[in-house]
Amino acid sequence: MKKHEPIEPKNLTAQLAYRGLGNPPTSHPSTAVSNSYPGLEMDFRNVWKHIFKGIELLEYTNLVIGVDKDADEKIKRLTPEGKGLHYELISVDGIHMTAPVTGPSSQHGQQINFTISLEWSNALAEILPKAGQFVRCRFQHNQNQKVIVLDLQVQHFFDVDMDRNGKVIRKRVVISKDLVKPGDLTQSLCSPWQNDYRECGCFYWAASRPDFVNVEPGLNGKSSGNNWMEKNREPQPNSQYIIDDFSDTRLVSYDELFTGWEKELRFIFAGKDEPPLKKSSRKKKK
Amino acid sequence: MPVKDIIEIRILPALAISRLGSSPLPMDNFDWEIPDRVGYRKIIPAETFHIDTNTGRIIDFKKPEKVQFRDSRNRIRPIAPFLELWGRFSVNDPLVPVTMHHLKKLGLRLSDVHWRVLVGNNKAFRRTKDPNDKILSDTGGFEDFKRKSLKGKCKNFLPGKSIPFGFGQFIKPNLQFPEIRFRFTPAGGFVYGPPSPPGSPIKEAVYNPKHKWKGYRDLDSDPTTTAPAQIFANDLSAQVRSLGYLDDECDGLIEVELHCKNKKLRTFARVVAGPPAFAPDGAPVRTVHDDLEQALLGHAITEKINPDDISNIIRRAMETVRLINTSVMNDKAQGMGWMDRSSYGRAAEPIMNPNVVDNLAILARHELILLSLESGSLAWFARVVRHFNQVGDLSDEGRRRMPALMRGADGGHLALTRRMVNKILQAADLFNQHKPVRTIKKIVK
Amino acid sequence: MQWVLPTKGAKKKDVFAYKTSRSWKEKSHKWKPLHNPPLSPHDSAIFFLHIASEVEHALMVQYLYAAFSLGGKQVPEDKKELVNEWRVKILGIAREEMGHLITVQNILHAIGGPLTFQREDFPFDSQLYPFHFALEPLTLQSLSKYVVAEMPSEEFLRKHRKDLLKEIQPIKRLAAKGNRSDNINRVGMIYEKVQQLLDAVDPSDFLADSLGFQSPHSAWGTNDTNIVIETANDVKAAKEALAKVAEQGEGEEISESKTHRHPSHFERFMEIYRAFPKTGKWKPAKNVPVNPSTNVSADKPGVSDITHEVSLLWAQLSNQRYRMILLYLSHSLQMDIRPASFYGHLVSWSFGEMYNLRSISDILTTLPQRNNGPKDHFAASPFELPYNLNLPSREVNKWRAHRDQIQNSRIIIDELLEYKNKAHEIYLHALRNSDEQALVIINSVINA
Repeated sequence: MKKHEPIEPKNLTAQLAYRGLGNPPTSHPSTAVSNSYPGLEMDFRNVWKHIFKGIELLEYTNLVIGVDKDADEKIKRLTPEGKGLHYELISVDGIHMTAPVTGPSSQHGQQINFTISLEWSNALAEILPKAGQFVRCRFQHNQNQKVIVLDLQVQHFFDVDMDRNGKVIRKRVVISKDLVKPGDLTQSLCSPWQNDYRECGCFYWAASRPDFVNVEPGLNGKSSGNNWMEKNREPQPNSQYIIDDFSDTRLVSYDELFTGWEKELRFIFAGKDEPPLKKSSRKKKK
Repeated sequence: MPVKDIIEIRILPALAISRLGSSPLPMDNFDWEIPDRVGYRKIIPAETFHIDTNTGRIIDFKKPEKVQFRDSRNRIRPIAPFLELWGRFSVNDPLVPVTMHHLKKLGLRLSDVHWRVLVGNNKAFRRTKDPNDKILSDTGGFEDFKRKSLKGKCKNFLPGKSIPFGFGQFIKPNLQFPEIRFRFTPAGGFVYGPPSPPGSPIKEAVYNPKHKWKGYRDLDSDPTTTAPAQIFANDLSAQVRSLGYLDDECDGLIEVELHCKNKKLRTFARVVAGPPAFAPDGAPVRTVHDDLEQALLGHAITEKINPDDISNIIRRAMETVRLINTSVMNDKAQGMGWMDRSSYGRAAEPIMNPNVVDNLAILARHELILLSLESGSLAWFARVVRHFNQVGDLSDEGRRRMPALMRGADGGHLALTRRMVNKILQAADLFNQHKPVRTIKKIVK
Repeated sequence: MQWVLPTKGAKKKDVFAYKTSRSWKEKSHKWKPLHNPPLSPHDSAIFFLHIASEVEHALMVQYLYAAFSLGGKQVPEDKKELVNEWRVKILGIAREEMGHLITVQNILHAIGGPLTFQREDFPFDSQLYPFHFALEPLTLQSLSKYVVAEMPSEEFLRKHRKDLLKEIQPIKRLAAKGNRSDNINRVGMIYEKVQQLLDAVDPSDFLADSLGFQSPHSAWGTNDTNIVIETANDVKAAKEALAKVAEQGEGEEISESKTHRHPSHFERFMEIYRAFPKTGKWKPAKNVPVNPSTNVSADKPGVSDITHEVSLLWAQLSNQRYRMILLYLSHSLQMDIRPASFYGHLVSWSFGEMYNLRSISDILTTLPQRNNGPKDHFAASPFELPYNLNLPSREVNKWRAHRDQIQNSRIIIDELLEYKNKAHEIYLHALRNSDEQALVIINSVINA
């Protein structure tokens, strides 16, 4: 049996890495996807919505979507009543929250020219250590370009204990209650979860939600294998991967996934399907 | 160690991931072993708690013969994590698991440990913005060992209806396992909704169809829809109307209060319930842990890099890429190629040279990089890694940066956390310093 | 007999239009005949491209060897970072030479010539080879040879960089001393010659459909624009491609603009040369042999055999993996490239084998060269060429050749594993495993 090693209270890395006695590795955040669009176990982007005290940001762009009821009147200018939501956080302490989108356009010879709101996790990396302090936030109206500059307080990301002067005396590795309430971390995921799970372009989560399985070298150099959502996976040489399409009956449908996901979805070990499911003992009796 | 006082408590792990499954038998514990640097992780049995759910008693703690992801009726076994109470007894002490012996020395009883589970599902609320669409389960405080059902209640539900989010249970310590621990068990993975015609996949009708979630639409005029939008069960019409379906996923808090003689100590941890990891011998390339680590320690690297951290990142990239149909995802009509075209009007082109993106060929490349990390292959990775502010660089060169063919949280091409990138850059430098091949740890915890 | 300059299509203006002409004039009158009897314009272009290829290949290997020799315990603590920088720099140059080698094969495809992966098999009676091939640890003298081989023409220096012209003279003398008193030839000269010869090739001999066989930069996933891998299917593109290659070596043209750019090989070697210890007070390179050999019984002059039994096995493994790179690369360049082909595998394997060669070299330079030799005399990768680099002509048999290489490698790996060296086992097991996976693919082709 494994003994517990004591952990120094300041060794937050060790606390973050701690798995817990009897817990498999897949219970640890190191197996949960964070490059969320929207995510799998949670949509980690939700953590950042309330990172600046008084305002609520949209999880995936820099748009301000709300201000606290008791917020300062200056802050309330960001969401003037009846005028829609238009103010975007464009920089914090001089650090840009956006990046250019550039590249060749589909219009021959032209270049595309857009702006993308950077994900909060990376964009705010320099700002987080300023928790408790006020930082200069520049907001810009996305139609009339008007700018509002406000000094907003950075919330503590992790749960902290503070002394009377607001000095942090203790930090824990749990995400603060000020940032997310129960239900908030998963709020922007699919409902039910099987929905986008079925047909999202598997852009990022293949290690948990496989896409291409039973892969073998094909005769012509093109790997053959199955779409994980294929129903019939009889081994066949050079089997054709079926490109996802929710109306393709060779693939698991939404309804099948809603009711029978446990049977329809197969665990993948070493890139291959788990052994075929045993006929259920209960069914046998029938 | 004399125990006279307890000065603080924490729950570890601070964020536990539970995974849905309808089997009453929670998942076995296991470890990963990497017998071969470029091979698959091996899943090996590890000591598993068996709990009597009626009494909270630990029946035993032993290694299963074989790690089983399903029960005898093919139901998936849920990942039901344990959360441990840790504490410090004086300012100079390290954190240790709090045991019933500690409590005794403090003159406290197990009933002085009060638990509360507060978990919710705000998926409908996130769309409709009707606070009455929030589903919340609150056990209130309890200090007994009975398993508590987590009933998700909602004002917009039909009378008396709720969604079961799983269970919370205070595990009864014993002499062999005197630590104070709690178990969170997620739900079975069922779909709920409004009264629906026969043959619908609804397990139980709970939602009152006169409220907004049934028939809800993500409108183009609404700048606050989710991204991606329309990711809910819908009528498959052009209007994409919500069927009002709900699931039994949730996230929230496990709170604990220790009622000492002269004070109350409080702390909490977080749990989330998500789908199973269906390829449990690998991990995603960028994880919640990577982001938490950056939030905790910053994006810059100030300490010595652990080379295992680096091989772990490259390994995860390999584990992701080997389950992606890279040829298909590289196509201009699929994946990021298609996204770039539809979101930004970029010229429709494949991302990589289509002649070299076959899954097994790309996998071989990743394996060989992993094989020679210490001899400089990481320098290649460091040269091609995408920086966080290059996610919108849709030039050929920009789109071919690593990790490739995947989408990030901003909808652009995926970048790792800045901390991960800095680790890679620093390690590439380190490995360039002509260090001989070294031994890597075999067990990954 | 004098080399006969091709005249077809070579209008005076054209022949000397390219910057190459300066040094060509400067040198041409001295040249001995290179091929007797003279070849047709098309064949002579191929002939010179073969020389270019062999030279690039030879340079790459010598630079790799020099880079792998750097570092070690004899380097003073305060110089470690500097030496590491040099190592990275020279490895970078070697990588770029690999790009040059591939570009030359692409041009050979473009004019329908045979490819070559040989390495300076020609005797050194040509005035075009830069210097006698020698695998040496990096010393001031070996470095001087690299500087001179990669330098721009003297004419250019006279015109634009008088300061360098002066600085280069003692380096040239030292280099000649290290080259059996033969003067060092500039690599740039070969490309200048090829430029001219391409003009003489009948335009119909530039094959538009050859692009399907040429290796494009994008296939290599380096995303590194400093690596020049160019393709071409007409004379203009071919000349531009080779100009880029030459430019990266000597860096004539861009030096004039002095804008921000990647320094040429010449500039990078020059920079190392200037900082290199002149007095022998400390040694940046380990004691690795000059021209190591696995051929223990050979008693050739100028060759230093590796006799320590474990080192010998590693050296043999290094040779084997070197052979594999050349065969994968060669095969990848003989394929009609299509998405549904095994081309991607061959590219990935060539790419990966380069790193394997580095891993193995890193191990070798920590192992003793001889059984009872001095403890600080280390082994190193011998880069010995196999008996033959030709691939069988039938496609399926090419795969048999790859299978054989993996099996050859396996014999050595298994023998090495017998020694139960903990530090080596993990790498060897992983290498064997990755070979096994390659074998699955290779066998699937053979058995198809």
